Parts: sequence; structure tokens; C-alpha cells
Amino acid sequence: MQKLLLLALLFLALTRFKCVVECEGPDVALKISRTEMAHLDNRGAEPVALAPGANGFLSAYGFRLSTFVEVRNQADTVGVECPYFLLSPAANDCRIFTLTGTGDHPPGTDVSALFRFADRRRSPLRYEATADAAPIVSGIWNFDLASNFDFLLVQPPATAGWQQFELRLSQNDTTTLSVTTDSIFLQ
Amino acid sequence: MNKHNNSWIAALFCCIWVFNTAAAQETAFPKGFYFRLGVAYSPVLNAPGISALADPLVALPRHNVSIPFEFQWQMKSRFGLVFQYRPVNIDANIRSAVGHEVARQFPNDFAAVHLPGVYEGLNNGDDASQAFITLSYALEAGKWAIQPRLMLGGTTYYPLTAEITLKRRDSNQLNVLTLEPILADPDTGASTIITFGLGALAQRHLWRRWSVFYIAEWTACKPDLSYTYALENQIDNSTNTQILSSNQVVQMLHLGGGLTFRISRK
Repeated sequence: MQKLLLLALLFLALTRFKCVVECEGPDVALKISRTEMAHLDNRGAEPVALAPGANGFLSAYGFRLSTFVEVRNQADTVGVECPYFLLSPAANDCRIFTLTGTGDHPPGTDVSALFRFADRRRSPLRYEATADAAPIVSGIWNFDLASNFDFLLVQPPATAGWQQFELRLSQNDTTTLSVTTDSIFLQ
Repeated sequence: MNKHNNSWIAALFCCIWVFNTAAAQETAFPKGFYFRLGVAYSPVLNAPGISALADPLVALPRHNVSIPFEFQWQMKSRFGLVFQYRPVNIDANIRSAVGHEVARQFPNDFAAVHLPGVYEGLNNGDDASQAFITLSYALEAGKWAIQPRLMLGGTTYYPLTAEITLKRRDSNQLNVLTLEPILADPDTGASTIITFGLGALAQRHLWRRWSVFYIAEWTACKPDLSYTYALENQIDNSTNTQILSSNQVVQMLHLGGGLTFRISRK
């Protein structure tokens, strides 16, 4: 009976306390396959996407970049046990341009300083400069869901009017990913 | 029915007689070593008033339960020396209290309270504790031993850090308010202060080495509660920092009871 108990304990010990082997596979490149832009209404506790065609609010306006990723080359994952996914090319700079003109800024000028990037990785939430969003956009991705990045207008123009913005993500391979918002009337 | 009642009364008197006989077997304060374990209600009579916002962070709120245990060396000369320790279980929703106070002070903002080190679902930080070296003097009052006590020791508590996001209503304006205790140990988060106390213990012998005790104690300490209060504007990165402090006396009451075990033989 005692031997049986000992064997049972030994079995439990062997099955419960297995060594954890770290699995580190080769790098597998991901690419941004699709992007979406949505206008935001940030008057409440959390920003919400505006319905298409709805007016925005000058003091609480923002836009959301949603990115979708996929494996750049499916052959890279064949037979790989623990692939290490990374976005390639990675973004190294992020800028926002006005296409309609915003306040004193004529159309086509850089208005990145008028925006802040809402860094939701941090608790509590913090704002970052627009340019600092680049490594965060490269570092956060989901396979099945969109990854959302919010840019908020913190220095709005004094008067109401139509606005349209372009987000440019400069990448390591010198290409630029450009995403444009729809026109929106900010009141 | 009347006969039935009479038998109950007779049984009750019988129990009292047995109890009294057992109690009479031991004097009220025989010398020796004793161990006591009990439970007490430990409210804070007055908490320090730093500011309405920082008050809930004081880790000694109004309603607590403490578990006192102690070793006593009772001398023949009626004097006794006691080492007493008690963890004070904090019963306060500090997370909610901070949230309510922030909502009152910043009515134009949406507030989100983050307490680093206090997991979601928990409402307060680590429990406080008190330890004392106590001098007691035993007096006899019938079958009871009354022990007035003079206590000197320390209180350890854990003032909390709070990070509060203040999102302005109808606006993208965002501020982060950080409240951080200055004098807490950076590694443990603990702060310890000298504590003085007065008390009385009433004890009555039950059976063999066991006795029942009741305790009433008052303790007072003067914590130096200083907090940095930093309001960081997330738009222009400007920070407004103030230091709030209070050194008022914190008074706690401990009312409870438990069992005493006489360790040494007669």
C-alpha cells in the first residue's frame, strides 16, 4: 500500500513539475494588409467612433487608425514551431498633415503638433507626441482583430469648418504608408 | 409546563455552580507564562486630515478588525510584562473612497483611479499591524483579575500611491494626478511610527489552564503623512507639484475578547 502511494506521488511530481522549455523560433515578417480610418467623438469618458457623415466636435475630435496584419510570406511559417512575428518594415516616424487647412496652417502642411497619440498600453492613459506613435504602431498587432491607434486634436482651430487629415507612417525601407480620413465638419 | 421550566432553571443553577467551583480552583492572577489569542473591533477614532483627497489613502480607516495575540510573564509582585502583536484587518473600500472624492473635487472630469500594487477586485492595500511591550499590574476583583496596562510600541501601515486619470468632459484635455507618500519605505511601502497606549484586561478562570479575557485598549500615534500631489498636464507636459502633509494624532480603540492559556504549570 505504501509503495503504491509512493508511486502515485512520484507520478504526480513528474507530471506536475515539468521543466518549461523556452521556445524561440525564427523571425517571421508581418505586413499591414489593410488600414481603416474612423472619426472619433471624445466628449465622454472614452472616445467613440462617429457614424459616417456625422459632424465632429472641435474640442473633442480625433481619428482612429485601425491596422490589420498578415504574414508576408506563408512559406516562412511551414514547419516552424515557435515563430517570432514582427512587423516588417517597421514604422520609424509618424506625421499628420492637413489636406484642407487647419487654422493658420495651410493645406498640405504638417500639423502633428496639434495632435496627441493616446497611448493605451499605459495605465493610467498617457498622451504621447504624434511621432512617438511609430514604434507603438509597429509593436502592437493582432491576427484576427484590428489594432486601434487614436490620435486626438488637442489644439483645435477657433472656427468651425470642414477638415480632412492624412496620416503618414514612414517605414524602415524608406516607403511611406499613407492613410487619409474622410472629410468631416467640425463644429 | 411549569415543571419543565423548573428543571431548566435547576440545570442552569447546576451549570453556574460547576462553573464557579471550577473558577474557584485558581486564583485570579497566579504567576507564570500566559498566551492569549482573541479578536477585537478596532475603529480609528480620529483620522488625520491632510486634505479630503488624501484622507482615504491613510491605511487606518474607521472600521477594522484586529487579531491580538500576546505572551505575558506574570510576576509574583502583581506586575506583568506582555509582548503583544496584532494585525489590523482593514475594512474600507479605499478605491471607491478615492473615486468619490476625486469626482467631488473634479466635477468636470471623468476620473479613473489606479492604485499600483492593489489588484482589481481588492479595495485596499496591505493590513496595518501593531506591536507593543506592555507593563501590566494585576488587581483582584472577586473572581476576575483586572490588569491595567501601559503600552509602548509601534504601528506599521502602508500608505497607498494613487494614479488618477482626469479626462475633461467634452474635451480632449487629459491630466494625470499622482499621489505618492514621501516617507514610506521605497521597497516595502511601509511606514512605522512609535505608538503609545493605555488599556485594561479583565480575565476570569474557566477550566484547568484556560481563562476567558476581555480587553479594552486605546492607542495613539502621530504619523507623519506627507504626500506629493503632482498634476501632470498631458497636452503641454507641465506639472504642478504640491506637498500635502499632516501630523495629527491618530487614535485607535480596541474592544474585544478571547481565551488565555497558562503555559507554565503551577
